[in-house]
Amino acid sequence: MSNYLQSLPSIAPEIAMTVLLCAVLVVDLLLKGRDSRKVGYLTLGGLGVVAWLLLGQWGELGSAGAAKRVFGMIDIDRFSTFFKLFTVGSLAAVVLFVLLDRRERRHGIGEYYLLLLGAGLGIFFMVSTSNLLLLMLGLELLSLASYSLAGFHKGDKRSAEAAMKYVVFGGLSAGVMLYGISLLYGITGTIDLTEMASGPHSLAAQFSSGPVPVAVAIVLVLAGFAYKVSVVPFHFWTPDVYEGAPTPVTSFLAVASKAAGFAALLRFVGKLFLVDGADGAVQQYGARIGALLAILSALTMTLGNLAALRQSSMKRMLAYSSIAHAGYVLMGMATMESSGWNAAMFYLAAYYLMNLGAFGFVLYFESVTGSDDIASLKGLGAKALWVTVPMVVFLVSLTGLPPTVGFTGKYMLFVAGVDNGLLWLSLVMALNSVVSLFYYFRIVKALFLAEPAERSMPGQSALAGSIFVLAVLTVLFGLYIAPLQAWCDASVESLRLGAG
Amino acid sequence: MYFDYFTVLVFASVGLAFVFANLLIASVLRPQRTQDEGLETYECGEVTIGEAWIQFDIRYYTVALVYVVFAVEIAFLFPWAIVLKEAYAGTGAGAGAGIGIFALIEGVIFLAVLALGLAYVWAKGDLDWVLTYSAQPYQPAGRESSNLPLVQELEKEQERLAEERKKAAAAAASSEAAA
Amino acid sequence: MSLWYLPGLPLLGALACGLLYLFSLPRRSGGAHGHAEHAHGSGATDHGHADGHGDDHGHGAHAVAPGASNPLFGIFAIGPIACALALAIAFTTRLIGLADGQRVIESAPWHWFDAGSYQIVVSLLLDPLSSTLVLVITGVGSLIFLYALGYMAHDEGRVKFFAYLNLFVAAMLTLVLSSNLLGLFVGWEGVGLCSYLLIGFWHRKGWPAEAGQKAFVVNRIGDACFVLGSFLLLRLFGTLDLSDIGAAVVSVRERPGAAFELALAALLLFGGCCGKSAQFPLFTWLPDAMAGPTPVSALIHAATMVTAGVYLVARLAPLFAASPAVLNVIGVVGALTALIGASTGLVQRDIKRVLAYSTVSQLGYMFIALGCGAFTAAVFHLVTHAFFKALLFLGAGSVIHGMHEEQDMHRMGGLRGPMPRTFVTFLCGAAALSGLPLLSGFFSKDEILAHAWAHGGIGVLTWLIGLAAAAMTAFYTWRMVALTFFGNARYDERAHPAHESPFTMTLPLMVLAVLAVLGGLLGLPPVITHALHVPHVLGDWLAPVFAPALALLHPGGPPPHLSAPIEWALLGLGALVALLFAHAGFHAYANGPELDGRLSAARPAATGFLGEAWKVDASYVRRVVQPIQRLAHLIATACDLGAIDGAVNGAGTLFTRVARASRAWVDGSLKSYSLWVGAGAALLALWWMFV
Repeated sequence: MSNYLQSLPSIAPEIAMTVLLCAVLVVDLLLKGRDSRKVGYLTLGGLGVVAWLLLGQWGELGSAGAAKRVFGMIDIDRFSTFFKLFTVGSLAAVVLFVLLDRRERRHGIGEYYLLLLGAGLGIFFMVSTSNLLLLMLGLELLSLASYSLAGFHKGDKRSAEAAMKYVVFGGLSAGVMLYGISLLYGITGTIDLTEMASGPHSLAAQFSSGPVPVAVAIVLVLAGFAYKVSVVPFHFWTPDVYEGAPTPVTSFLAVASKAAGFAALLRFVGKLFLVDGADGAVQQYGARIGALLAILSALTMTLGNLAALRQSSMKRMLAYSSIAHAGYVLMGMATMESSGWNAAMFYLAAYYLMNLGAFGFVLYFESVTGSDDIASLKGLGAKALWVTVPMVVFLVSLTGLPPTVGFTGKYMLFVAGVDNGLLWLSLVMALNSVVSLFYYFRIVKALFLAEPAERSMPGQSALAGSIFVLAVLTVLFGLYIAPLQAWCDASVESLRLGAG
Repeated sequence: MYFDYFTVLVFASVGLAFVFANLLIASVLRPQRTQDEGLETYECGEVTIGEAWIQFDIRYYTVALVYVVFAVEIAFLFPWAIVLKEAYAGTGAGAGAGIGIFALIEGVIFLAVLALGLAYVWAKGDLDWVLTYSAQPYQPAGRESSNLPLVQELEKEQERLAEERKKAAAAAASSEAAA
Repeated sequence: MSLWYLPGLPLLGALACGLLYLFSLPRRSGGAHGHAEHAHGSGATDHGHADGHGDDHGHGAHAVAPGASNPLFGIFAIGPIACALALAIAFTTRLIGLADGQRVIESAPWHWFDAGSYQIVVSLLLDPLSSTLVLVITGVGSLIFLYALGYMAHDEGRVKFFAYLNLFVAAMLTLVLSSNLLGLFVGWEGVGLCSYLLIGFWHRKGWPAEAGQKAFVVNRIGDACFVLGSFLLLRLFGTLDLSDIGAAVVSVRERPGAAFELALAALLLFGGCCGKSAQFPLFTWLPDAMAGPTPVSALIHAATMVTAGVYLVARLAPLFAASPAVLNVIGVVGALTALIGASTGLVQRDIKRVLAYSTVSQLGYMFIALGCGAFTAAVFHLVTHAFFKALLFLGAGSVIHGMHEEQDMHRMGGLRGPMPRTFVTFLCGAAALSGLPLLSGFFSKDEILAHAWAHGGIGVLTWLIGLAAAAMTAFYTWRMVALTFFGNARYDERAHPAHESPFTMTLPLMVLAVLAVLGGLLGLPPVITHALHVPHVLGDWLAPVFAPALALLHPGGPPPHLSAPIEWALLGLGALVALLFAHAGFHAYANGPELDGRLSAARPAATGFLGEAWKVDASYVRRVVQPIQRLAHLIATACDLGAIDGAVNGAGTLFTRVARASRAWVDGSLKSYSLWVGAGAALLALWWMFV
């Protein structure tokens, strides 16, 4: 009993999240659906507590230096805490977006926050386990909540369509992934990645005796992850769902959900193949995975950017851009070296900041113009400088130009690619960045280079303020790199330590 | 290793062959009936109305979900209840010194969470067949029509149906007038 | 109390002023075009505060100066630099309290970023050298800020002006305090930016904007050299920390082939100094920079920013001392600049241009000193020059202010009557600049010339040129005094009577006049210090900073002092030349500017040559600008329109076509999507197995 009780503090953030979830449910019931904003404020406060717990945990992990495994399933290390912190941050931003969405109802939307928290809880488990079963459970918890969120506006046909597509596509991919996991279990007799990597029935041993089933299993699992992070050719749901879902939900899907998918993918590949002192077979397979990821990365960034060129809807454009960004992160992974993984982590952190901001901007203007059409932005640039100038910052960052965090991230990826023999991929990335400039700056062009519009801009100072803060962070971390870099390095380091 | 999968292949082939062989034998042996009644879905004589591909009310789904709440409850509580006694004793499947209290509290929390979910559904009125609480349907400003292909098709189809209905009504009215 | 407060306070002031300005701008809401237009219209005519100085009333009706009516404006504008001055004094006192040779205060280091194996750690460092500069910047700066409050009182953009000015001080303090060449470069570029903004402050007039651009572009040339030099230093030393570089010079020089690279790095850095400190051949931007408001000319283009080059060479003294050839180059360039500047000053009619060329030539003096290895003398002249040149600029500003924007000395005259306080203080500044005995300029200039003489070799040449320049300096200075303050009034006294400036403007003049007169006490010549048993204050203060460099320069111990008779003779010669030419200049123009007309009629070529600063600018246009323009035109038509635009447009079309094709691929149907998932997974598995 003492063992169990002693382990509980380690998962305090998860417990706090669960309690918060129940509290939100109860409060929503007690309010009888009136004034759901109160529920939103409760959510924000609770997320603050969770963030505080996570920060404490981060500090403890630093001093102790050792990662913990709770109940034999949940890995508490810096890697997971890094992602949990960013998840809590983006959840808070999304909750703010919901609260500040002028087109959203004020009453009877308590489930909105409940579902967001549920998705967040799913992410928490997903990013901190090397047990494939728990990983799947976390993934499903995230997915189920996301499906409902995507269809939250029941009356909106597009929202309903988005939810439908998401469910079917998600179910299909989950099936594919589960099949891969079951094959892995059949081959190695375990669902724990650490045991799979070492142990008497390790994957390495199975590689040598029968490579084909192993390859099939790993490819199937990777396909499941690829769906979650929208990698070509598993990306098709992305634009439709992003466009149809309510904008705050879209920002959640594009940022937190995608990064969680990457976290799980990083852990999966890292635990199995990024092991210090692995034997020849594993290393060979690691190289194979790297090559696979490199191909996927090139395909993903190129197709994402090309498809984004001709979009007229901002949300759809950002959806394709998020596909392209998944390709960039994959490139860091494809190096299969710590430097590349650090760069990938850094890019994910950058991705959190700039995409949240960009979606906040979409939300801001949707409530003014009533649509997310790029054409409807024409001439509005000078009307709300507190929002449009930050948007320019986000776009500059998304393109990967200095002095923003997006530039730093892309630069690191580029260097990592060149250093690890992926020169061709680095060049593809550089070319893609140039292409992306075309469509990102269409927004700038619409905002600033058209005749000033006559439309009046209702002030939304709170939303504008949060967007501004994100822009400041985007520039700050672009110039003051050291701390973020140190966090990323520590995270990847803990992943490697855990693997060894 | 390869041989193991070879068994699977053999198994699958035999299975397939079994199915098709039986169908073949049946088609050879069974009497051939050519009347239309023989091709009806329900040979007992009940005439079908429309097709099976119709939209069910979404509320069936809600009820099914609520059922799942109880199903999960049973699925977890049954084994839990069985080992709880042993857990107190610290023997058998529930081994571990003094895990009993912990397991009991855990079970109670589990029940409480599920009960909360049930209470939520109840309070929201989702257990009533006729909804008592319903919010205004969401209608975003300035987004009348979707440009997604599927939605467009649906809209077109609905328009076409409405048009046909109108035409039929007009035709009926004119024929009545003529009569 | 951290050193970071020193640049931090003005930065906060800049932010506060900037925000105040931004938030007080007239709001341009959707329908109110008329209002915005009105604000524009008044802005276009109101700049230059040309209307109504004699009567300080009647401004309330139209004076739309965004933010200036806010009671906080005064605090935001003057407060930060006053606090910075107090802090600087406090820090210097603490520095004095430390033991000799350990006088260093260093702030907490800031780990900026890593580039490969190089760690860029920036901290602020206060030692005797930087403390001297900090005192000058904040001290003279405070006075000029106070003056500017009066000078800009009628300008609608004065809040913005103080935002820029505060930003400048922040950048300048960063420049002199930074312990790292990269941090110094941040300040270096920062002051360049502020200089650009302030020169073009009245950009609606047109030519100030162009002058600002010219300053910016010319400085880019220097800055490019600076950056290249830094790269070379980083390669040689593996660090950009200034004291580390200074300490490692000896060991690096021992490496084979490193001596040349050291000299090259020093030369490149000096190229940067040429830009910033207006040395030949990059000095041409400084006279045009006078288009900015006069307080800017005083603060940035006389007292502080233009001395940044001198500071850089002094700061990296060991590096320069390790390459005597570069020192010689510096000395010759300085002498040439001093000569060009002084001779051009002889024939200028614009009072601010006289002072601008004078600044160029005085900066040349500082580089003569650096070229002789007389680092202390350079810093000494820097300090006294800051005093008297700021005084002269502010005095000129006061004259211009009182004369309703008149800058042509031919249309002044007799101003000692209406402007007594300006006259007396200006006289002090002029006497100091021309090196009349016992004033600050006399001692600092004499110290430089004495060092040049003692240096021998090429130093004697620079001494000779310096002496000639000193003669011309005395001449044009007293020509300026005579044309401005003596003789008959050559302007319409009844229509636009000249008036004395308000107290906020004359108070700084008086303080600076005292400093200009007494500044020489900081560094009396050796003969006097020996005779009176008083110390060379500045020399003793700076000695520990320059000791390593001097040890490198004179490996065999310090060179012998000049003998007392020679020194007395040099002092006497300097005094004699100054008095003689001051007298000549004053008397030639005491009754009016007729001599100018006679000279230009008799010797049109010579006066033209001098008037246009030896035609350096014209030859730039002919030899550099025009060929580049022709090349640019060629590239623009042939390469850009033809090749590049063609390629870009082609690529754009290609991408658009591909994008259109790939868009059709996403048909919105779940069936085809699912097919792709299956096919994708299968393809990946197949690739794995068979490729």
